[in-house]
Amino acid sequence: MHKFLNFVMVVTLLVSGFILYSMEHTTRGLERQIALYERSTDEEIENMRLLNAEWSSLTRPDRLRTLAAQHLGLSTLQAKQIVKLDEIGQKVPAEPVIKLEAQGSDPIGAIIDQMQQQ
Amino acid sequence: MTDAAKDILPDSDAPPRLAGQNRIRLISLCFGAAFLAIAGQLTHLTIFPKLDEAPARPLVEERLPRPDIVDRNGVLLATDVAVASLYADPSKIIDIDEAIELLTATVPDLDAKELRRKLTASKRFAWLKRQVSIEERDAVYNLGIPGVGYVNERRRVYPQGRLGSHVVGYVDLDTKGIAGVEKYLDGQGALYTASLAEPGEHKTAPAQLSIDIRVQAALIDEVSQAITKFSAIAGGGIVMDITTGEVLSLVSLPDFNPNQEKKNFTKEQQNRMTSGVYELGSVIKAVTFAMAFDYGTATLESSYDARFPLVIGSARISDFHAQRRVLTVPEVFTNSSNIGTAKMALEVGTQRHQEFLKRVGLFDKLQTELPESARPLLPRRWSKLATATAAFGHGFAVQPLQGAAVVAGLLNGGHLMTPTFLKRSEEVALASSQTIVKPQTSETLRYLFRLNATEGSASKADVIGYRVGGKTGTAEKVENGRYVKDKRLASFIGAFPMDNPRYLVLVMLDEPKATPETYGFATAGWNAVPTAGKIIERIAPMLGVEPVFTPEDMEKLAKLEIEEKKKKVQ
Repeated sequence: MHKFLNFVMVVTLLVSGFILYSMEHTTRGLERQIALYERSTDEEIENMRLLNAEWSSLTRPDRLRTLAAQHLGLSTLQAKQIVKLDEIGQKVPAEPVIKLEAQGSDPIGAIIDQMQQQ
Repeated sequence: MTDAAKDILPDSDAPPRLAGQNRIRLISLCFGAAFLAIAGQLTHLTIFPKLDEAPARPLVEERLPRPDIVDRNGVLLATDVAVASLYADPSKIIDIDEAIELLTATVPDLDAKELRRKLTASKRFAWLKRQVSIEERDAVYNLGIPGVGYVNERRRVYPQGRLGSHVVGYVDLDTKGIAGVEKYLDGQGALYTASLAEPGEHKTAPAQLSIDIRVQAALIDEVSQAITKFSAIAGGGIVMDITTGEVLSLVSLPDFNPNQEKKNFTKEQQNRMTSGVYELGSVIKAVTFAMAFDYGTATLESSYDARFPLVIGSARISDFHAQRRVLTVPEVFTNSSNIGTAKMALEVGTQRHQEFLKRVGLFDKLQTELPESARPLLPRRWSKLATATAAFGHGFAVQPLQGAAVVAGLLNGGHLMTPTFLKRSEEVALASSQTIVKPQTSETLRYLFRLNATEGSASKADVIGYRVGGKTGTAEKVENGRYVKDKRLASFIGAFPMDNPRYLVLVMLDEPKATPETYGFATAGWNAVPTAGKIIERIAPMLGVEPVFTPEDMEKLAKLEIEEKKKKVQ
């Protein structure tokens, strides 16, 4: 009787020990994974900060103005160019003033084509 | 066995009983209880894990990250990016020549001589280069030079460059605020900075300014063009929302780029709009008019004799554009008559004049979030002559921002607000404002401002459709206590749309010169005013001001179009 009890106890000890250690092992693995994810999240956050700064620098109003004037021929919006929505019917010319594609000049399209070729 | 031993041993017929059996039972009971307690606690912890109390990682005691700075629309003005600083322990470097060769090849802007000096020094520590990019750091790390290491740091960058220079300010190498809002965040505004921190997280919300970077860009562009065109030595401008006291844009030229590595900025690059004081000249007449209307000593129907110069003691006050006739109040305003304005102030009286200036805050230093602010320069003795000259802006000098704030208060219905560089709502602004004049006075002043733009000295700022109103000022500069005739400070202060003014524009040019285009004039009406007009034309659509055209406006527009066509034909 005693012998049997002892045997059961030893087996239980071994089994529970095995379970405990394997659990600890997986936990450690998970912890390593968490640390890895955290580090890559931090890295991504840093990247985002850098990209945000870059975006903000690339979309500086003065820079955009120069580019718009150079490539698109845009200039300052004048008060008379602003039309109310209900008056828009009276202001639209019957024929488009400039037919970009017919003239073969599509400045934005040309820029895009040029960029694609490069 | 000896007899002595026999005494101790129990009798053989007595039941076998170990000595101290009770003690053993007690001990095993204790052990059992202890094990039970441990087992119980273990089971408890396994079933109900207390995750909240036990942090997964030890918290590092670190300063909270510096908040980003964004404009009123959320455009990034200042942020931190990760950089690394390279250092070396010269005593650990084995082959200095090889190290220098490798380092200069990897980091191009390292100076070989400087590097040799640092590495041969008998110190244990030397910075090789501070704030290098992450790529450079990795490249140097991969060289594997013993004794060369790095620390990760953060670097403050200003993506908008010089656009935000004076308002945003800058920090030093240890990211401590040195100027502008950056200094405010560390000093006076430390409480505000702390309120941005997000509890429990290692993060801070961005500090949102009242600045609109698009307006700022337009203002810088137009003012710098005006400086070149009129060969002025400096210039500046302010755009303010008069309903909230928010500064949408503040420009002072020459400015600087806060990203510059060595921040050795000169006095020329200081913020003239807040840290300099100027005699704003005739712009101050608006204050005198408001005072006379508010005390009821003058109405729009009153008239003043401007036929002869005003003589007080040994001083003579005369007009720049002398009309030599009796002027009505609106005429005094549109002709910017010194005589008329001085008489208005004298009617109010020296005592009440001082009281009024005190009430609008012109006697006190204006302190906004910007640490750089100057105290007004006032006449030492407030005599009759001082009242007469102060009426048209001579003899006392204030920060241009303070002048703008007072005019904003007079035009918005009489609520004087301390200008702010942080975003705020109208309710908050009104709650902290002070009533300085009656709404009726404000109404009358609006009428005069608009009149001055339709037929007075500010007509070149009247962008058709946006209903601009304004007052010009040309002050002679004071040098060594004397007024210098040909050194002028030209300024314009105006608002739009005048039927319900929302935005105030101030433009200031320091020593503008006459050009052939201005027919030899160098007064504000020929330089500061057209500049303001261009600024308003650019910023009004951005700020959502809807143009309204009266039949007269349409006529004017038609005329302009015909003129343009003629020019093209020629």
